[in-house]
Amino acid sequence: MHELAITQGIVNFALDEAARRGAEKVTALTVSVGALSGIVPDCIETYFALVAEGTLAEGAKLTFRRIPARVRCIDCNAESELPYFRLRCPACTSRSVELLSGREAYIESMEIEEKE
Amino acid sequence: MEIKVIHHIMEWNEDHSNEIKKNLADKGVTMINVMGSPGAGKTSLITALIARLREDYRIGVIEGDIAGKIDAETIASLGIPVVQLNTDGACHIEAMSIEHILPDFDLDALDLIFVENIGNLVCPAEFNIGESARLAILSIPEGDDKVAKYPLMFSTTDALALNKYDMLPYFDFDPARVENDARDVNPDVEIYPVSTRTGEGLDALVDWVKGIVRK
Repeated sequence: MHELAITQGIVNFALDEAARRGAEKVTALTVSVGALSGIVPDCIETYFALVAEGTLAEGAKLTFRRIPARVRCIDCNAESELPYFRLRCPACTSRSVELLSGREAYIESMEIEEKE
Repeated sequence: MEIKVIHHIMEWNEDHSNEIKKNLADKGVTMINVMGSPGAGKTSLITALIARLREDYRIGVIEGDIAGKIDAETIASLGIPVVQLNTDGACHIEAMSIEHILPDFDLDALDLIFVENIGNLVCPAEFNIGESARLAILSIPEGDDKVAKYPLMFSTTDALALNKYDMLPYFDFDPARVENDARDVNPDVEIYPVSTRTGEGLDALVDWVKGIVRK
């Protein structure tokens, strides 16, 4: 349910940005979501239609770029993708890992239509 | 026209959280965000900690609940300043709510604030509320698989209290599994077996709190 609050944050940002640029419409948004971020794209998609209704962002196409969780092992130096939320090197099981990606949660880009 | 923006999704919450952090730091107040399932013993643990810390620190409590003020009344009966925060259905507390509530306290007369978050192992983990530290509670009857099932909550906490530890003989709960799962998502987490009923283990947790209180 917290995705509703998160979606409101996304829509508010898009509307502010659109207003700032004098846009007539927000037509698309690309959102990057890391595998460990805890954010569920499907939920955001559902809420988006609801929250954006009647605003400049109504009907905007929402695209999610899912970023896998990747670690570099400090012990064996292997770089791997984590199959699930467990900060262990999949190659040697060491817990000494550096997280390279997976916690992302940001709006990457948006498409707007400017006034004629 | 496509425009690159790179805007963090949680920024609207983070901005308020950072503001609170700064405000509390200026006032020398430490805030602990207490999280766990409904029934894990959040209020009981806060009450037990208050009893052991109130000689040394001036304490306040923010009680987060979807509805009602049962917990706030419990805390108020101890003579501790408390504000009830009702989220009216929301599953978590946001930084902005804390920002609205802080003026209800005399921050110059406080050293430590406990925030009891909404009983939930999922959503509260996503929202920083300007806290100095997070304390997650998992109670023995909930089962030893909860850390593996709700990794985000346990990956973001500074300390983990295993409450109702006196119940260990009556449940198939493997503390080693919990410790292993917790270290898999949070290698540095501090784990404290406690029982608010018998008092066992509380001294060590009290020391953890004392270690993070500013001064």
